[in-house]
Amino acid sequence: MALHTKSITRPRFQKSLTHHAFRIIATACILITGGTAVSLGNETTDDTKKENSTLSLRISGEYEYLDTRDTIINPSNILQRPENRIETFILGEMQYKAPGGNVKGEFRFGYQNLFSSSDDFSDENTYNSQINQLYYQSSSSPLSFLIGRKKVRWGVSYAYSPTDLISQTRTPEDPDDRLNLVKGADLMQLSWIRDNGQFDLIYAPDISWNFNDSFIRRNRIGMRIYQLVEPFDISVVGRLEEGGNWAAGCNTTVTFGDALELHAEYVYNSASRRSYPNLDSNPSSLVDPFFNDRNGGTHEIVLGGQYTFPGKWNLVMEYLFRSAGLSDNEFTAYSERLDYLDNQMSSNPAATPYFYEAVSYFSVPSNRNYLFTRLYQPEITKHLSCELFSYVNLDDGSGMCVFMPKYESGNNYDIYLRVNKFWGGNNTEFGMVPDELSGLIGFSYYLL
Amino acid sequence: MYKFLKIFCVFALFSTLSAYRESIAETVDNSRAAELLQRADVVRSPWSDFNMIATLSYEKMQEQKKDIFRVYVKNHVNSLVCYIEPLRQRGNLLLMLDEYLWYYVNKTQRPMRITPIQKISGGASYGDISRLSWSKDYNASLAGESQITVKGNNFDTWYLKLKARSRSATYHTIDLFVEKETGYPRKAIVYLQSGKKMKTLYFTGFSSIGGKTMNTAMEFVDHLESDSKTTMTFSKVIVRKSPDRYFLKTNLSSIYLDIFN
Repeated sequence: MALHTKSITRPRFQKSLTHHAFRIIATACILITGGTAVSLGNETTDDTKKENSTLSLRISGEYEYLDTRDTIINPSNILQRPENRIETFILGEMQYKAPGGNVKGEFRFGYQNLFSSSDDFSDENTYNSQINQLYYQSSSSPLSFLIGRKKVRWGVSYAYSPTDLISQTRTPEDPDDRLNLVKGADLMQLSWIRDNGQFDLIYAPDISWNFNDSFIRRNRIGMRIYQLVEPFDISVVGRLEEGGNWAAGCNTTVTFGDALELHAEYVYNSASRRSYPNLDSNPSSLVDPFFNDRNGGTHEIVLGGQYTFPGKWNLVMEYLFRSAGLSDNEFTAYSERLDYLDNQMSSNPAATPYFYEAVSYFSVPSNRNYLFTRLYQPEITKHLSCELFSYVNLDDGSGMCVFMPKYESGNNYDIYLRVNKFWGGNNTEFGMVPDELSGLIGFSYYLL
Repeated sequence: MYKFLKIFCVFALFSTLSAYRESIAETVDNSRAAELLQRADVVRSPWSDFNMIATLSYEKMQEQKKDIFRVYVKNHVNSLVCYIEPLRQRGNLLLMLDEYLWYYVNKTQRPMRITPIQKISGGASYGDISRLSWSKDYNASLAGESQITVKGNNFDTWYLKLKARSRSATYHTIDLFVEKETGYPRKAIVYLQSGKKMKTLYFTGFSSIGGKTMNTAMEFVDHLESDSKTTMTFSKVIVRKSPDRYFLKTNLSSIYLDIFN
């Protein structure tokens, strides 16, 4: 989970809402004008014809209000969580028929504004551009070659796929990646396709594009063997990194009857370095170090399924197990440590760096056992769909749930609402998240 | 006693012969029904491998809507349905390999396995677009003859009852009316497993393509949606074998370029 935190040393000033509104409208106008220019240049495109190049553009925006609370990782909003977030972005997808193959790209140009009514909070404006995908592909049966940046999806689960060993994984908080923030991996891929099966060999180095360090930070290779063995859909995947670390796993899906689908994923990571609370240390003292690194093999398992009920109601349930997660005792020690540091900070400034160190280890998921559940109705009315999903920590009973109705009108635009609620006690995982409740309204307009 | 035995034997022989005759008649009827069904199939899907544009037109909240797909068919039973319009769906793909289905969402680059029930939605379902062969999915029996009217034209038809025999069948049962003179399908009424009438399909347009006749226009009346009407037309038919890689779940993220470029 990404927390929008700010440095407490920033200059403090407050902008008026009028100022924010002006900035948002100006940004939207620039983005729309840019999009229209491209649209006019391509207005003769016939979608049913095959062209040498195609371009699609979408502009999306969101306004979110966050109801923050005091938690043990954010006492008195020390992390400077904003109350409001505005985000606008243009997503472009292009395809181009190149000699011997095709080029595809996905670009995102975005703007984010974080602001709050509190005098302690300073505005934050971020412009961001990223290339989610850009690759060239050439195919000559039965082989296919690809080079560039691409999202590689090997997993079969809905919310989280541990067998996605190459690309950035999705998160259960936003499984559909509505903000298109997930980037592909830089790679070269050779695929061999035959009889309901495919073999992929991938070289995916970890590349530094700022050129300050060495260009290739780390070499990685990956492979996947896929075969449809009726009625099972089976993949075996693996990844080997420079230095000897490796991961291997498998996934499968099967359907029963007309409405039930089941799936499973398993991955073993040979080395997963992570910091854990030291259970031999007293959390209520400034012992250094309180956190110890542990380096060892870990397992991840996802067991799930989906069922479609009469009336098109679709239910997805997935159980996630992570052996790398904190045990009950470790999580208790962690929360006790945060409690202690919270109390110490006002009287003992030496506790502050320890507090920030402890907070830096907070991430979702932290524990071992989780349940994701999603109920989806594609047609509440002819234009309105609705989804409700929850992500629950089975170890401490805390969790989050999202309610998201979506209105799809005509051919060109969607409007959606999203309400996100976190629950749990002070010393539980989701109870520590500083946003108790958030609500947003968003839109997408399809320009091309 | 002897007389009783004689009567019993004659009765038993008569019953057996009668049952045998009925069974022969039923077999003949079923084989005739299967033959009629195959004739209708040839009109719906004249080639084993081809691709085409499928256009769905329908009215939604007093607003005319149009969905456009490119459909690739391989060996009659494998198909790939590619969304072209609406824009928000462009690049999404539905892959059907016999009875197995996957839905690929272009935005997330993720192919998801889906269940047969999920291909039934809307006035015309995915199954109506992707599954054009009845013979492989249904057992047919001849239920009689009927005169029907489609768009003001009267047709003398064979009345067939189709019952699903594989999971790849889109519907549970179908009442199918095949024109006696031409063997063209003219009307079909499809039912849910509960026996509830779901849709009525009218086969309204036929075109001659490459020397063969193909059903290229259909009208759907959805009885579950206030008798709303959907029109489906097939155009730009290209008789060509598509690459095997189009029909592989793991390769769906890579074929977008071929389909749209």
